[in-house]
Order: sequence, then C-alpha cells, then structure tokens
Amino acid sequence: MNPEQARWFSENFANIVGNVERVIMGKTEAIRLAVTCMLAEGHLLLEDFPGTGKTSLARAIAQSVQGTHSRIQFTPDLLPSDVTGVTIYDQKSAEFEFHQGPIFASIVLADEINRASPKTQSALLEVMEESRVTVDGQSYPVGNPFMVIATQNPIEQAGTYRLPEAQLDRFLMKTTLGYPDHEATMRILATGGSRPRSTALPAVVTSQQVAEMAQLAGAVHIEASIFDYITRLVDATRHADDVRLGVSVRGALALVRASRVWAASVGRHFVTPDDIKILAIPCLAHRMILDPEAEFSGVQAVDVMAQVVGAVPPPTERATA
Amino acid sequence: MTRARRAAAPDTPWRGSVHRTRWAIVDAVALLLLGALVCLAFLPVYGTAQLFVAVLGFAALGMGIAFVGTVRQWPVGGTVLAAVMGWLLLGGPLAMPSSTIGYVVPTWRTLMGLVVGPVTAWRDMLTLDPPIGETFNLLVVPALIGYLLGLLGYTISLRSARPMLAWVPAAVGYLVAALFGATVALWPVPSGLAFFVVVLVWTTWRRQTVRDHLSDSRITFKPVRVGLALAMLLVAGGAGVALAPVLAGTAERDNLRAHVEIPIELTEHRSPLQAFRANITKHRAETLFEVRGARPGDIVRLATLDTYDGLAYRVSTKETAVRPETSFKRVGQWIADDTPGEDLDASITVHGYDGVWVPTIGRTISVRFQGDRSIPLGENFFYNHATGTAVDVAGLRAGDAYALESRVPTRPSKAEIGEATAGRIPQPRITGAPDQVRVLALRWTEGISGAGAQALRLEEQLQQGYFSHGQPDEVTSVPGHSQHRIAELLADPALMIGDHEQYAVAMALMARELGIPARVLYGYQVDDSPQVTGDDVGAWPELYLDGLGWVRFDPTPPKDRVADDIEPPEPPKPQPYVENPPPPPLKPDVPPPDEQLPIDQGEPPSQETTIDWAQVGAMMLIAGIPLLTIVVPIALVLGLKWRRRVRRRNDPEVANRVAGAWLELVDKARDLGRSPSFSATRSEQAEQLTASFPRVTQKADLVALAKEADWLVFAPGEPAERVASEYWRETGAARGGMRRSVGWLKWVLSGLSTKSFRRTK
Repeated sequence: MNPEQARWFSENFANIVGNVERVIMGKTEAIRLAVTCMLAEGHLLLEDFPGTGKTSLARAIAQSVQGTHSRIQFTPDLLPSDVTGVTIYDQKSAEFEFHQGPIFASIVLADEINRASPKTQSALLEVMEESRVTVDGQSYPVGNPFMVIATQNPIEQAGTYRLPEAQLDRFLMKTTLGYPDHEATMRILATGGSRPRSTALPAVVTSQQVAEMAQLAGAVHIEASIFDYITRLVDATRHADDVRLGVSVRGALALVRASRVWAASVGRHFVTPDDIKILAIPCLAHRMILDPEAEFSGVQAVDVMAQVVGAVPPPTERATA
Repeated sequence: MTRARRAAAPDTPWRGSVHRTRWAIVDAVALLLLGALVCLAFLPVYGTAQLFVAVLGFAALGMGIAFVGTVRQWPVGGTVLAAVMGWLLLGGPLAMPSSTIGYVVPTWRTLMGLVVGPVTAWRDMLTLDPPIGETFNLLVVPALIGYLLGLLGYTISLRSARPMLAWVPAAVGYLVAALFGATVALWPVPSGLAFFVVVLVWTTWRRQTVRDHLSDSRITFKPVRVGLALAMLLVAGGAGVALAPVLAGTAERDNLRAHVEIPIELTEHRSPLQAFRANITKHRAETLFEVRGARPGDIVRLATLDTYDGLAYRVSTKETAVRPETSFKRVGQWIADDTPGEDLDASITVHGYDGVWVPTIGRTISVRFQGDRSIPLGENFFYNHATGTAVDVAGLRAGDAYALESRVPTRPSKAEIGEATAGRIPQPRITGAPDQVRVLALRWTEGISGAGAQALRLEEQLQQGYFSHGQPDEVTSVPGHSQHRIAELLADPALMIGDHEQYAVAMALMARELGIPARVLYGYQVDDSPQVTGDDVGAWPELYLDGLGWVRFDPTPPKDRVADDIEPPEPPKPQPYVENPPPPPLKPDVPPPDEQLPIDQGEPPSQETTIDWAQVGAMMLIAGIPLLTIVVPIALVLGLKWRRRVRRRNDPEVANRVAGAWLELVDKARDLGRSPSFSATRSEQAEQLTASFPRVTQKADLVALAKEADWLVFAPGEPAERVASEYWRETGAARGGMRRSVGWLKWVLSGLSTKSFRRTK
C-alpha cells in the first residue's frame, strides 16, 4: 500500500462514516469501529439497550455499501434453520429446493442473540466463521461483504443464554453504541421525522470497492516493534489481576487486522501505537475471562483491559535486530 | 499539586500528628547536641565562639529547611536550591561576619568565600597554625558540616523510613572534625563518650518507639531496662577511659593536620643580619617604618637567627629545623602564646623598609594587615612559633601597614639571671665558629659556674670593646660576621672594635661554646620617636636560661665608647690571603661567590626541587574530598546525559535517531519534573507536554512533531540521514520553548537531575 492508496481508502471510509452519521447522530467512534469491523471482514457484537439505533446502524451501513440487509430477532424457540434456510420439497418440480434464510445478506443484524438457544447461536456463529452455509451437504456462499452485527441486552438475565467465551472470541470487536449525548439528542429531536430514514440512504461505495478496500487494508505496513507491542499487550492480559483466561492468539490476530484498517482509515499506510491503543479495548476486552470473584465484585473486562493498556509502554522506536 | 501529591503518598512519615511533632522536637534537640559536640572537636583549631554560632546556626538553618521541605513536600531539587540560597544568604553573618557590612549584608568577598570555601577552605584550615579564629572563610568548613548535619539528619528523621539513622551525618561530621581538627584534642574522651551516649540513647529510644508503634503497644518507661543500659554505659565508658591512654599513648592525635607542611622558600633570605651595615651606610637617617604604641627601649624584631655556618648567622629553615615548631607556619586570626609578659598593641606603617621579614615586637599574638594589600599580605604571612620571627613572602613595601598585638616578656633582674642555669632546648647545630670564641669564652668564664653568671660575665667582657660602624669618620670596622670577622674582633681582647653585628654574634657563639642555648635577635630599638631609622638598628644575643626562658643580653659597648678615646690602634696588618668582604647588599642574598671560606653552602639545588609525594598526596586528598563529593557526581550526571544524547543522535538505525530526538525531549521534561506518562504514545505525550509547557507552542508544534516522528519511525522504508538531523533541529526549537516555560534556573538545575535515568515502571 502506498500513501495515495491510503488517501483513497480514507476518503471512501470517511464517505461511508459520513453517510451513516446522517442516520446515527453523535456516534462517530462507534460507526468508525463498525465500518472498520466490516472492512476487516469481522463481526461486531453490540451490547446495548433497546432503542439506541442498532438496527438503523446495520441498515445504514448496508445501504452505504450497496449491500443487502436483514434482521433476525432471536427468540428462545428460534431454530437453526430459521437462520440459515431450509430445503423444501417442491412438488411441482419434484425436487428439493433450498430456501435461503435471513443470513444471506451483506449486513445481518442478529438482535438479542443471547435469547436464542445455544444450538441456534452455534449455527449463526458457524456461518460467521465460515462465511458459507452448508445444508444437506450443499454449500451456499453468503453475501459479500458479509458482517454480522449481533446485539446483546446487558440488563436481562432471565431466559437468556450467555454466549460461551469460545464463541465470543469469534467477534472481531465488541463495543456499545450507548445513548446519544445531550447535544445529539437535541438534534435528533429537532430534526424529528425529517431526517432520512436509513432505508432511503444512498450508496456511497460499491460492494466491489468495499472488497478492494478490504484487500488493500491487508497491505498496510506494521513495524516489528508494533507486533512486539501487541504481543506484550496480549501477554499482559494473561498475567493481569482478576483475569482467569487472557487473550488468545486469535485475539492478537484480530487486533492486527483491525489496526490495519484503522490506520488506512485515517490515510496512513502504516500502523502506529496509537491505533493499537484505540482498538485494544474493543478488540480484546471481550475475549478475556475474569475471575468469578472479581466479576462478582463488579470488575469489568473493559476496566481490566484499560489497566493493561495503561501499564504497557508503547514502542517509540523501531525494533533492532 | 502539593496536596494531590500528599494524598498520593500516604506512607510519608511526616503526617503532622502530635506524635510526630514530639519526635521532631526530640530529634532537633539531639541533633543540636551532636552539633555542639562537633563544635567541641573543632574548638582547638578555631578557638573562637563564632565557631558555635556558625555550626549551630547552620545546623538550625538546615533543620529548618528540612522541616519546611518535609511539610511542603519539596522535591530534592527544591530542597537543594533552598539550601544553597540559605547558605549564600546566612553564610555571611554566621560564618564570615568580618567580611560583611554591619555583620549582616554579604559583600562580594563574602559570596566568593562562601562559594569557593567548600572546596578550598579544607586545605587552608589544615595549613594554618591553630587557633585559626575567623580567618576569611575558614569557618565555612565547620559551618558546612553543621549545615549538612542539620539538613541531612533532620531530613532522614522526618522523611525517611529509618528515622533512627538521623545520627549518621552527625557522626560523619564528628569524624571529619577529628580528622581535620587540632593534633591536641579538647577533652577527647569525655566529648567522644558524650557523642556516643547521645547517639545510643537517642537511637535506642527511637527504635524502641518505632517497634512499639509497629506492635501497637503503648510506649512504656522501663526503669529496670534504662538502669541496666546506664550501668552498661558506665562500665564501657569507664573501661574506655581507663584503657584509652594505655592503648593510644599520648593525647596527641595523628590526623591530617599532623602530616601537612607548607613549603616556604627562605633560602634567599636566610640571613637578614648580613644587611646590618646597610642600615648605617644607606638608611641611617631614613625612616624605615613607623611604630606607634611601642615604648622607648622596646625591640622591633626583624628576625631571630638561630644557626651559624661560619659565613653568617641564619634563620633555620625546614631542613635545618630540629623540631616541627621551629618551622614557619601559616597562622589564623591569632597565635596561641602563653609566654608571660606585658600585652602591647602597636601599629606599624612601612616607609623605607622593604623585605620579607615582618617587623614585630616581643611575642606576636595577632597580626592584622590593613590597606589595599591586606589580603595578599595576610595570605602569605608565616610565623615561626619558636623564634617569634614573622615572614611575609609577598614582601613588605612602603605603604603597607598592620596592627600588632604583642606580648613583651619582662627582662629578669641581674640577680635572677646570675642564679639561673642553662635551659635545655634543642637547637640547630652551628659550624665554623672561630677558635678564639671557644678560647676566650673559657678564659673569661673561668671559675664561674652557672650559665646565668657566665652569660653576665661574657656580656661584661664584650662591653669592654669599642664601638664603631666603620663609617668614614670612625675607626675602621669591617662589616659582616663571618668566621674571619669574628676572629678578627676577638684577636685582641683589649682592642675589640665593632658594632652590634659582631658583638651579638660573638656572644651568641661563646654561649653556644659554653653549652648555653643561644640565638641572635636582629632588629631595631625604638627610641623616643615613633619613626624607626636605620640608625636604630641593633642585634642582641638571646640565651635560654632555665626557668627564665629566652633572656636578651646587650654585649655591644655603648655607642660613645669609641676607639678614639685611647691611643690609636696600629693599622691592621695586611692579610694578603683574605680580602675584606664587600658591604653586603641591602637585600640579603646568597653569599658572594668570592667568599673564600670553605663553607658548605647547603644541600645541592636538585634536592630543593624534588617533589614531596607524601605532601602532594595529602594535598590531593584534602582537595579531593570536596572534589569527589561535589564535582564528580555532577560530572558523572552530565557525562552520562551527554553520552545518551550522542548515542541517540548517532543510532545506526536512522529512524531511531528520530525516535531518540523525541526521547531527548521527553527526558528533559522528566528532568524538569513534568514527565509525560510512560504508557502514553508519542502523540499523547505531545499533548501532555504541550499542557505542561504552555509556551512551547510559541516555538514548535509538538503534536505535529510527534506525528512526524511516528511517520518516520513506523512507516516502511528508511528515512534519509538529512531528515533525521532536520528533525533534531526541530526538537531543538521545542526545547527552547520548554525552557521559556520553566525559567532558566530550573532549566539549568534540571541538567543535574537524574530523574530521566530512572527507567519506567
């Protein structure tokens, strides 16, 4: 990747973010993370209260990248086939025919994923990992780009199935949209119904361009001392207090992927420690398993991760051989 | 900020509780007690009450700074700065009052003395003969010890986790005092014991309290334990007192002072008496100097000559001196002298006289030079304690003036002298005395026993001669007092012709032949007028008699007893093999080379230029102690920083030179006490630095600099060397902005800070 390509990347990225921002006001950071997630070919887990704009976000991103969008509302009785699709016997043609489920879209919003049974959750996560659906020995590719934006309701406990840690690990990032601040809320209220619905958003990049961007991001340069920094960060999570299980290598890889996109999104063809610092919490925090005692006493993975980031000095020079 | 820091450091020993306050008072009292004992160790050297003012004053000041520094949580740099300010402000009144205006306002000389004193005063105080008194800046040494004792001791007491170690600086000070102190100590055993007891009781009490505090039990007074401790102290102390003299021998201390000697080069000036006749020929009516305060008849001494070598009577120097006391030494404000006599205050103004020999009267107690040359004259003044001879190697000349405090011994009566026997005092060997001296001395004193009576007899016999200065209107009398001239004087006892020079030397030599210690006093006799002219010149033998000390005799016949009164003597027989020596020059010089007497002229010159390595070593040691404690750490810090900078600037990886330039900025901020966070990235550090150094934005944009560095370091490819040096230049501008934000003093002091060497946690 050269600086010109980086500039082209950052312009497109800014266009997508700007477009989404017309619908979701005052949440630039979360939008940037979501778009980064998409370009890094990862999936996003949003832990949010109802009514914070999760569906709008998913739809707006899909519209912006000229992609399709679907939404699956997870309930305890939802079956895997409700997600992936079913094979039905067509009496006319006397053949079995595959009917695609809602997972066949560019941006899939999996709402309240923790309410579905583990079996259904696994089915979704399998698709997320493989980017294809296999039914009756037949494989069907899902959309391109393909990103699942799953949401979890943090307050409800009854009748929910917590995602197992191994499956949490498959989400590239976990973040939160949260409520808009005072000023943004005022703006939302003032513009009322007049602002464009996410369905009416124009596309700003083609899905072809998105694929190119994702490919370009892979060529962003990472200096050896930054790999060292990531390694030290990951290692520190494994030795931090209150942590039972630290971040896996998959987590470190996820951070590397995300940081490449993030660097390109600001027009840089190289990653700096700042990128790593910004992305460490959304990319790594949800992969740690805290001590039950610490968890019980209110310690949150995000806080532990913040401590780790604050304790590991970032590199200032190139690594010497 | 201080509040925040205080809150962040809950383990700080100082919490201002009642308990702490009590300890603060106890520690202060204990430290002052130890300071007083350090004073006692220094007292024989300084011998002035100002010593207590300097040491205790500075100890109190040091404790004050330590206290305020603790309460306000000053950093080390701030405390040191306050200490230096205190030193310069109060150093004048406390340690150098004479150099101040009205004992308060420091002058330029005061400040110079205070600044260079910590380095130079050590050497000077060692080389001066005690008691030094308050001589220029020499009280700086004990004052500095007192200061450090107070500052460090109290800081340890208040701020460290081991307050019971607060006695250590005092103990070091006490050791230094012993090392630099007088060879004869003042109450060494009691004061050392007192020091030991104070330290022991104090630390034991503190330790006990700390332990009780930790175990959360109440502090209780345990009479049995205290009694046992006291008994043990008494036994140990008693044993020490009893055994110390046996083990240590004399009370003389073997310390640095005992091994320091000042070389004084007097070879050229050793025989002022040779210039005796010049007083008559050249300066007979000229006022040489003016003496006010002396009584008629008092002798103004130029020099006391105590060794004869056949050519001249000379002042013994280090090589010929038989005892350490007979050598010349620098003196302090006054000179210790317990000779009985009448005190006399005189002032002397030099007119026609010039030379290194300083006119003094009797035994000198103190000399204070006045006028423009007071400082060079004072610094080059040496005094020979044994002979009372004073030398100023800077040389006196017209216009110089000084005040003398003297003690003039009273001359014992003839009856007392007659009964006295010869005293015993080591003297340099004499050589080259003519045979007639011995023959005549024995003949004249035949049948007389007792040194005093013999001396009176010699005086009486010599007074039978005739007086002549050998001037054109007088009988011929050759100047000088060489072996030949004395032989000529005594050739015919019935017709001795000469002046003080010959008679005094003759009597001194005769007394030496008879086994009586003798020496020659050369000087001037004050008459009714304060003006001393060449005509007042004289020389007198002094003999050492048991119980009477040095007694002056006057064997020279009265001036009016001239040879004209009797039949004119036969013209002296020509003596072809010897020419009369020419009149000596006014400035005594090495004997003329045509002198024909086979005299050993002293040791070969090579001997004089050899280096006394022991002395050099001692000097280096003395100068080295302050050097090591002050200069070396500073040089070390500056050197390490310089090396770090050079390494960063020349890193083989060009990209890392850029990173190094940034690290230099961060380290500078760290040294200034405004360190950005260790876990911050470069851009975050740039924001923190911009906030800490508000004026840096006038010179450079730190955030842009950080981004540039990130680009050069983390982007692929190697930046050009030119880019790296350009980046160093840009960070140089940022340094300028940082300097503007903190002020130059803080900036300079931060150069000595070691904060940036402490690595990140």
